[in-house]
Amino acid sequence: MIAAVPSATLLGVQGRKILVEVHVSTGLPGFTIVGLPDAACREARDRVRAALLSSGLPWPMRKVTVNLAPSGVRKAGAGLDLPIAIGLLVATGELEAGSIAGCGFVGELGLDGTLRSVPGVLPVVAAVGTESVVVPWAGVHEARLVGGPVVRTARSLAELVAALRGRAPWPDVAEAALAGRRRASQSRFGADDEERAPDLADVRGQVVGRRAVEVAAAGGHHLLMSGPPGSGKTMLAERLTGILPPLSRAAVIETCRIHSSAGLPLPERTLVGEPPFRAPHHSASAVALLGGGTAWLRPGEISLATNGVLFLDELGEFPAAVLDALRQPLEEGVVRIARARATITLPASFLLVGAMNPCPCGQGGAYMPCECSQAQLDRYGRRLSGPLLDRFDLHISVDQLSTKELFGTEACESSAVVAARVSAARELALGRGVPCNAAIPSHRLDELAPLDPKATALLRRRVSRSELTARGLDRVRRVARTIADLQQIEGPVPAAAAATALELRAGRRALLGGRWVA
Amino acid sequence: MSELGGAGSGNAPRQPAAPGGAGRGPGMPGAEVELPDVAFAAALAALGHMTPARLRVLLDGRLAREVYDQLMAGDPSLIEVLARLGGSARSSPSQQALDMEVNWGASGSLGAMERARAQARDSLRAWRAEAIRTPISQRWAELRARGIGVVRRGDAAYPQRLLRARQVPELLYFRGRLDHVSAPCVGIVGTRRATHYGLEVAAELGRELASRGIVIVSGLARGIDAAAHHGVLAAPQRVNGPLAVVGGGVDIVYPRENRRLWEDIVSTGGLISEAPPGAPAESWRFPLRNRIIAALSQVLVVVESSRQGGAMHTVLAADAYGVPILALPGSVRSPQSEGTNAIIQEGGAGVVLDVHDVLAALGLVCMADGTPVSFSSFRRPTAHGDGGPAGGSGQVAAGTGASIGAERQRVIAGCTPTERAVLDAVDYTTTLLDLVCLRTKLDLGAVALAIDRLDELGLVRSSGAGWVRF
Repeated sequence: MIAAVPSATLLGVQGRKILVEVHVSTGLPGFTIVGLPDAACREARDRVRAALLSSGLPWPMRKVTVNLAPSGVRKAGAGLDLPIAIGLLVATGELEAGSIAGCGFVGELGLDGTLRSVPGVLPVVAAVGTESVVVPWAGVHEARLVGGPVVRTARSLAELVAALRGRAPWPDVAEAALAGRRRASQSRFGADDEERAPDLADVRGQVVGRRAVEVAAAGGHHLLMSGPPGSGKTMLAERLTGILPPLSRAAVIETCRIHSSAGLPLPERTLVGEPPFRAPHHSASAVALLGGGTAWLRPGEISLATNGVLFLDELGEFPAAVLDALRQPLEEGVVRIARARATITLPASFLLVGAMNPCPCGQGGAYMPCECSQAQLDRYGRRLSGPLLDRFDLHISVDQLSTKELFGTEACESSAVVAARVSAARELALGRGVPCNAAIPSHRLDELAPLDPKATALLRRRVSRSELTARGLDRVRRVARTIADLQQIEGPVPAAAAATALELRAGRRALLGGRWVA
Repeated sequence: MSELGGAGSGNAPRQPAAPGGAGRGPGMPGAEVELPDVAFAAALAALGHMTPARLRVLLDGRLAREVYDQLMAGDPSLIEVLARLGGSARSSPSQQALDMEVNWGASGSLGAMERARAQARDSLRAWRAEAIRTPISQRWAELRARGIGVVRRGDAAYPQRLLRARQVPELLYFRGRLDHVSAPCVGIVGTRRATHYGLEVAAELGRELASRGIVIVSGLARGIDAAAHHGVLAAPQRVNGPLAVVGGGVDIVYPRENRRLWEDIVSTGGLISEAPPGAPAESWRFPLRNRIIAALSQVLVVVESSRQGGAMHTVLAADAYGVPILALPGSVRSPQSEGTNAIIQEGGAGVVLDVHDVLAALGLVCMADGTPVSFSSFRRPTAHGDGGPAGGSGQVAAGTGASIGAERQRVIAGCTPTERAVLDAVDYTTTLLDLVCLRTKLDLGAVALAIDRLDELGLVRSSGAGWVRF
């Protein structure tokens, strides 16, 4: 007897349709899986056997051959346990072939017959391509995001077989989805997770910092902040997601798909449209940041931050090789990972926010020179390569203000007010036919971001004083366009916007100056 | 007269390094008969645990080879000389340096004297062993090969102003040149942790004074010292290079970051030290170094210093030697200006606002000395007679200051009210743009525009992280 069960496996962030064929025949009892299974996949035999026996189902004492088609592609993970078990039941006549018609299966089996979830339920379910898909109980809320196939679930193999035989009703998917969402939210920050991102109204006094995150959000400009510890760099970065425009339905699905593929719980706030925020520690390896790895090509932090913010705190402490590897994704919005086994392209369009101390000791703020030697400062300055530094349109110095100066300052604008301005500015950019101002190509600057005469004079002075390079000038013009957009100025960019754009790049001056040069 | 990179004065032809055979001992001094006397002094100074004070009492104005021969012969009279120095000749050099500053030479109780004698005997024995190990001709050849010169007190090339120091350095090592010490010298000292303000003023003073033919003496430390030296090197019509007095040996670059500056000073000016080559820059040597800076300077300018800073040692020494002191006033909130503001308040120092104040002070000193004042730029820029240094030198600075101030007032008067408000919000120390916005309650765009204009007018300037009123 032969049976064929549709399923899918994960490669990168894409599902790949797999047909599980099971052939049961006379011969010496045995069980073979062909079709390039990996170790976890080959071990399916023992899990399936134990699960069947625990569920009171028979294990055939015959020759069993399982083929995973297309057989030339490597299969990874334990997600094919369930389709193999179902195929076996159909092939041995325990289930009627008609009962699984038009139905795909995804899931791992426990030895007691429990159905366990696997990484990437969302992309996998999307790839199966059948009318209905059976997924493990814990994967239901991800599977339902796909929106295509009818999602069915069961807690165990016995429950599933009973439902397929028509002897018991299907368990309620809505209940499973609710349970799944609750689990996802608990697994992160606990009960508080239902709340929104922290509000920008909490950041007082940081006029430049506040403006920088607003401009970054409105124009998609990458932002670098330097300042001593405790000056509010992280505080500003965390509030960025709260002022970015809400994600579209497609963007939410994409972000969830990437998180699902990485085996992470779905970001609860993203489900309601908030962009993701990823802040990997500076000990992160290149693979952790970019994606890859041996088991299955797992998306890295830059892919997880897609449609959102990648915050790299202590930028100077990241290994130089890792930072330089960011250059290509920053330019192209995708990361191509090539391995001997496969080459995949992962999405990686994120807003990069870097934070660093002004010097190794961290004390060298605006007010006090620090204890670092010139050699240390030079080494630290070289940590960030010129090309990477060039990717940052905005580069500001952040420092603490004295309590005295802060006292009596009126409350600042909340995230909601700023977000409204940001959305309006983004609309203007979209109206010009560019996704955001940071993406305006240099040759279209004169057309899309013309300068008024005063602004031209101002920037020309800076260029003639060698304070601005040609490339820097282009970046200043893009930022100035965003600043004008935030004020709903559609015509030529005024001088004030150009001057502000220059000040929002003044951190470069601090990184290169701020020390004695004769 | 001058010492141009050579080693020692009155050099006799160099004796080829004799092989240190077994036959050469303390009893055979004749082998080194043609070496100059400073070679012997240098050999003595290079012995382990030989501090400037010990060297001074050992030599005591005598020929160095005489003392060297005494040491080699184990002459007991040296024991008495060292023991009278007080403290232990083997005690730590830093302790020794401190002792020296107070009541050195005072004899203690009889028991203490006995202990001192025993210790002096030990160290003389150790020195003798060391001297036998390294032949004097070899040491001398090494010094010459490395371009390190030596002058002893009493030599023609020895800086005469050093004779007024509290403990006159017996021996000076130098690289580069030493002849320019006879020109008018101004010391510029200050903290290592300087602010941008201090660094800029130090460099400006260095540059302005150097282009008027004045030699800048400083310590080649991080911060103000380095900035002053950099300023000298950047001077357009520089006659003399800077003169750096360092704590360790002249071949020990400290701090490492000043390596380039160090080389530049050797090639254009002079680098001197009391410490023998190879001596590390230990902390006890710096107060000693500071007294040399004070003694060499005819006017001492303190740019920035905390109350307890090392620059205050220099100020105290300069005060003791009667060197006029000028201090740069600073913000009352800046810890780097606490010391300078305090000495101004206590009347210990005059106020320096620009280079003319230094020139005025220098002019007065030089005339009192009887030294002809020859720097041609020392003329009043405003109409105050023929510009001689004699009368009204006090008004030189005032006159300039007033005219600069008037010019500035005129520029400020031409600004818009917004620009004036922004200018008022910028301090004379680094001010973040955030703060300017908060103080003026203006939008960032308006502030950025005003700052750009003020920068253009030269009223403010960027200090990296923020802006400084200029």
